[in-house]
Amino acid sequence: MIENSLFTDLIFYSISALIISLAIIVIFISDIFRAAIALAGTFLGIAVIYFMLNAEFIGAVQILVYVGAISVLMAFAVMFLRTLSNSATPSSYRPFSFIISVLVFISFVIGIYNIEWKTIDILDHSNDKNIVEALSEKYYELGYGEQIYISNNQNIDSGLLAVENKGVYIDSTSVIGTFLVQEYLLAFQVIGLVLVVGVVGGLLIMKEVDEDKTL
Amino acid sequence: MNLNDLKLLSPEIFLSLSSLFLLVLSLSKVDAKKIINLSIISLIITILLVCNLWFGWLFEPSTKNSLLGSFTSDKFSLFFKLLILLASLITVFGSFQYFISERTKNYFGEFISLIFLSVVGMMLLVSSTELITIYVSLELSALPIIVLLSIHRSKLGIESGIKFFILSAFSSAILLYGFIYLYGLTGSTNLLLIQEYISKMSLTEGSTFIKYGLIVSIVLIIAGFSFKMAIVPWQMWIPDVYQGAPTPVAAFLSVASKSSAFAVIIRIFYTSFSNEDLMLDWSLIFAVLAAITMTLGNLFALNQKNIKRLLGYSTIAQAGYILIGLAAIPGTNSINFSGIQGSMYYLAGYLFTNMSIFIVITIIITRTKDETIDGLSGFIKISPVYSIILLVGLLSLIGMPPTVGFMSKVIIFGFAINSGYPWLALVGVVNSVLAAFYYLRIIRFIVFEEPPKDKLTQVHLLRNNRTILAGAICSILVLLLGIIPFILLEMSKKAINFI
Repeated sequence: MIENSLFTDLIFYSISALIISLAIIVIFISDIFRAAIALAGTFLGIAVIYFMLNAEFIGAVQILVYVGAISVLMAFAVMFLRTLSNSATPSSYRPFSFIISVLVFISFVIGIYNIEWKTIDILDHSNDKNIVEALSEKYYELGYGEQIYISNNQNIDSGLLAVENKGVYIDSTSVIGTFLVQEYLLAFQVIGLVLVVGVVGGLLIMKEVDEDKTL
Repeated sequence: MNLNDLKLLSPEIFLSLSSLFLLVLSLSKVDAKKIINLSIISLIITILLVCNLWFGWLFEPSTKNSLLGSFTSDKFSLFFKLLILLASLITVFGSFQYFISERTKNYFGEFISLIFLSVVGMMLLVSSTELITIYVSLELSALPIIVLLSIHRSKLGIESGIKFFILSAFSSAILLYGFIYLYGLTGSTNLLLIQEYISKMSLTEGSTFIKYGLIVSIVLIIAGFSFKMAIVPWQMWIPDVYQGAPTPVAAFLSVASKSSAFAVIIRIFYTSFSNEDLMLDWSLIFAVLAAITMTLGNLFALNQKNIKRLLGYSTIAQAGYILIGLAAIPGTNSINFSGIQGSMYYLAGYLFTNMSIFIVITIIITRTKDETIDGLSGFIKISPVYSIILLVGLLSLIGMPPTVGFMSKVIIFGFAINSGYPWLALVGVVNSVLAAFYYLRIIRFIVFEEPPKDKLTQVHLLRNNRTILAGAICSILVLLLGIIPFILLEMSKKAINFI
């Protein structure tokens, strides 16, 4: 996260309160159209959190895809299918699923607060010199104008810019770009095939049915 | 990406290219039969390419890993690729009648090409050794199936498509939570690196919460993949989806999708979580899940009237048996990973067994539009050839001696006892007896009931040489692998060397 100050704390807590209250509205409001708008607000708030975490790329994608595309899509769907809006009936499993959700939530919270997550700081303080060295060497090869060191370790070579950050790379966009054509090349290519399936499948399902075929 | 990577990826690249080619070709005026034949040929070429990587006939790649450790082409993955490809080959080959039937003939090209893309996803899934690639391949394997399920846009088909879509999205979200926990704990997405970190962590740090985090992640990952493997309590979609699905898709789903999920879960757990301490924990989870899955699957199947629903519940029960192999970890320090060997043998046998049944069911349902078990009454008088294929398959599902079903049950229960789960083997045996009830009921209808008069006239309509050939090959393999299990066991033994 960017520097801790009273100001950032204030922003963080107010945005979090906004996200949570909008999310609660999404669940409990019966009008689907308003729920969709509240959901768009939730997405926007999450994008702000991403920006505060220095993850500009993810934040921008969040706004483009979730706020821009998915919310609008949902709004259209609700407008076209007006019958949807008032047909929500509460499920009889509600108390049961409520208990399960609370239990899962508690187990997540216990984990999140107590686990010593692997961050870059911990990498530095641990005796694991190899990891730090290997990681830094990798960024050496990337060859930007400014070399990025992901450690704030003292005994790194001078002459390179040592960036002090806690777990997030400065200029994450170009690092993500490099990762996409190196480590995650295969995943990147496979996403292309997923898109082909999406286009073909969407067209196939939307194609006109010539006659009514039951069974 | 260098030449070696291309060699390792050759089957996947070929199959995805041919799927796109077939898609375009099916838009032209080329004869349907030619296109289907072409698709069969391209599947066979892909199988040969996989065999080439196993035996090294044409070219031998210099390393097994490629793309900076996100992809491996070891024998374990090749074994499962062969299973998946064989399942799709039998599906496409045996469903000829279905493809040219009135309902499908307008979009069989898209049908085949989507199946191919799903196969590509599964092949990448069993080969990937890195969490992001695993997730993306999983999506590629699931997305075409959603389309295929609702391709006829019948009421049941749409319902099964939407059910599968929502539940698969839900399960991948759970899976991603598991992956995030793992990444947060270890700081890597590579399975081998994760294993290194985990072994270091539990040695150096006394914090109990590291183990807590790992267990949370293990549970979430099991939950995410259990959806694909049809493990109770993530099984509720199976009967509805199978009932609404076009029968070839149900066949493909029951074998290929399941094998790939088992393969990837074996890979994750035996590489990343192969710490001895952790092994005891997750092996117990698998054992309990296996017992519940077998029992519930069989109990639900007992009074099913619809044959596709019944087969759906039967696949749940079978998934329980296969899971026993995953629970059967080496009991002591001696490294002997035969438990997975049992699972792999079971999956291979199950492939041919299930395929032989589904092929026949496909052609019956395409012809008669009757999905009830009563519809099979006196089937042996209507079509003896199909009945024999069906009977061999059903006997193998029960676990009768000359078939592969018997051998795989013997092997897998043996491993359960060896690794300290005698109660699991007991539950398995009791379940096999339970399962015999409903399988034998189908056999009773086929063999001992009188066929309705109007059905006899449809005899000539049912005959199809391709289906008979595919079914016969499956049946012969079911018997052959049951009598001579050593070839397959030897193959799976070579395959599990990756650990």
